[in-house]
Amino acid sequence: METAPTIQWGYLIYLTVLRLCQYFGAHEECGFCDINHNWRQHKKEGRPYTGVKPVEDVLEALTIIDRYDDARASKAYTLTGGSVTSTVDGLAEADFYGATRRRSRSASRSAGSARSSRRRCRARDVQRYKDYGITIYHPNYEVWDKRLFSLISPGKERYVGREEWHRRIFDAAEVFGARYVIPNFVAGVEMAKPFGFETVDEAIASTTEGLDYFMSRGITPRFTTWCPEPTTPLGRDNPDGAPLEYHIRLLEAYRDTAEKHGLKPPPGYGVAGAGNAVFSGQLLHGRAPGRGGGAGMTSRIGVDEARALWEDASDEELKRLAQGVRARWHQPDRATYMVMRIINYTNVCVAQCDYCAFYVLPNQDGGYVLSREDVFAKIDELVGVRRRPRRLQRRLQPAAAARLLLRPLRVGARALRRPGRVLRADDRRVRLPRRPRGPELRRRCRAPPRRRRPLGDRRRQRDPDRGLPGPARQVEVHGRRLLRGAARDRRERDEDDRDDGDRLRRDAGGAPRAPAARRAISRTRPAASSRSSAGRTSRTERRSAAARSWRASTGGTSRSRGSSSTTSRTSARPF
Amino acid sequence: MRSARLDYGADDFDLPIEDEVTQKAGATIDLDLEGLLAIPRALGYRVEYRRAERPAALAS
Repeated sequence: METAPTIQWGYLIYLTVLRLCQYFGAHEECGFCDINHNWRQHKKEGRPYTGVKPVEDVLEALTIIDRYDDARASKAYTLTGGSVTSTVDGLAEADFYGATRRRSRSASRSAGSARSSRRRCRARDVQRYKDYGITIYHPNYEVWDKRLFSLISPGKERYVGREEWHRRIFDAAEVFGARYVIPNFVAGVEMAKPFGFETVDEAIASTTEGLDYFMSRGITPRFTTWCPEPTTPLGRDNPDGAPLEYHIRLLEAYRDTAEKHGLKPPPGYGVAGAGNAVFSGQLLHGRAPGRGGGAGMTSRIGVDEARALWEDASDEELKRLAQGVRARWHQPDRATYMVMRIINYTNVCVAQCDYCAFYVLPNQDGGYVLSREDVFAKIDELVGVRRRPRRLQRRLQPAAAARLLLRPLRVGARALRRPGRVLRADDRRVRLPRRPRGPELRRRCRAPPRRRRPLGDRRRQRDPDRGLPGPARQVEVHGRRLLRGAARDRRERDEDDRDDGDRLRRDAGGAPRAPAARRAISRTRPAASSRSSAGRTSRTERRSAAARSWRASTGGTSRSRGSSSTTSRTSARPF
Repeated sequence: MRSARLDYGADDFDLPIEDEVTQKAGATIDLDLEGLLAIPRALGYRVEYRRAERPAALAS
């Protein structure tokens, strides 16, 4: 079953700049969200998938939209991604998203409508979002019901809590203005088994209560339709999602509640309801509606008109209407074509698409990989037939295999020059690794010169693990468990009120005790009275006193500190 | 039947000479390119070869 979005509101650009969420693991991830599952899958397959999307990619996307969107259809773009409970690139959440927003400002006209979503912050963090130029804020509350919130979004419940989450939404409204705070909920997930409501009536009643709660205070939530992702716990248990009746009644409830409180659709969004869907696929071959053919954009057909066409229209009428739509963007009497050859340099693929009869899994019989000579022969053959080939079909292989396969092609293509243009002829750029791997390839291929890169460059930004909080490392000193290194620094930082969940303190409290280092020495430590007698003396004095006491208890002889004797060195460092 | 897509609003088409994936799924590929191009011409279309290149907006 395909679950189509109930509503496509307006023209929105979503830029996922952080492709993983620090609510990580089974006890923290939202049950409907597959952002971390995606990341894990990509990493498992060895694909070059990064948690932090390079800002350059974001800028590129915005630049393309800016150039093509002559109709000025894009009214806002949304910076979104996973929640940040600690830091990414050493930046707290507001600073991370704010920095992306700041860099993207120059690339888009719609900069004034930038948004940020995902996580609820305290008022002063919200103010920082505002200071970065973000004008709309999406603190997603996911599901209204209290019990379901704790079950479906355990990370948010654990770190912040539902009531605090809601309270901070109102705090954000004071900073941004109620109209510009648009909390999102996941429509239909409240019916997910095994925890969800049994009936549509119960689900609608609960969700309407949430809508009423926020809308009565001038805040207009929005919703995204729950599309069960097969890799998520709720998606596995509920492949069909919520019933159609739920979605229809939700639209009615949403519209009625908004009218009850005199609210208009939130900024950047259209009117909710059947027939009001607006899709942004208006740009064809670089032409926007209203250009080409001189025909302006007309409204989409309604449900009744579509039904009438489906049931009653003749072929001739359908042709006439289709040609009319075609003429909006293209010259009516012009058709274009392209001679092409899809070169499958291998049939080995790991994607396992249901419809594909072509792929062979790694290590299965029947797999092949074409040699460079074979690939270039196919290209030359096509050039001999007509024009240029269009596409080099890349399948999904483990990253190492893809590197080995594609690298020589690229280097060879550069050398031959003509195939180089061919390979890049397609609009879709094939991203290739910069250096060949393995001695054989290095001998055969000419590696491009290495460039010196400044700190903070793109390669560093592509480190996929930076976004994840590392485990708290512990050491035991005199029976006390202490965090050390980065974990200690993080704890100290989180002790201020910017810490939403006290995660590190909790982890440190619940973690098993680290084994004592240098156990043999710890058994022969001076007596507790000896150590405590050091009082407020200096560290050196305490060490000397402890060393003397230890030597006395073990009968060791006094030697010079610089001796190579093991006993001597140990005695000088009793801890 | 070959002209159906053009009649119903399509404006651009590919003439593949090889596509192993669809061929393995049972499709046959006609290599008579001029014969194929004669069909839209007979329907009154001005047929142009579309070069594979980046859109002008991106090339600048």
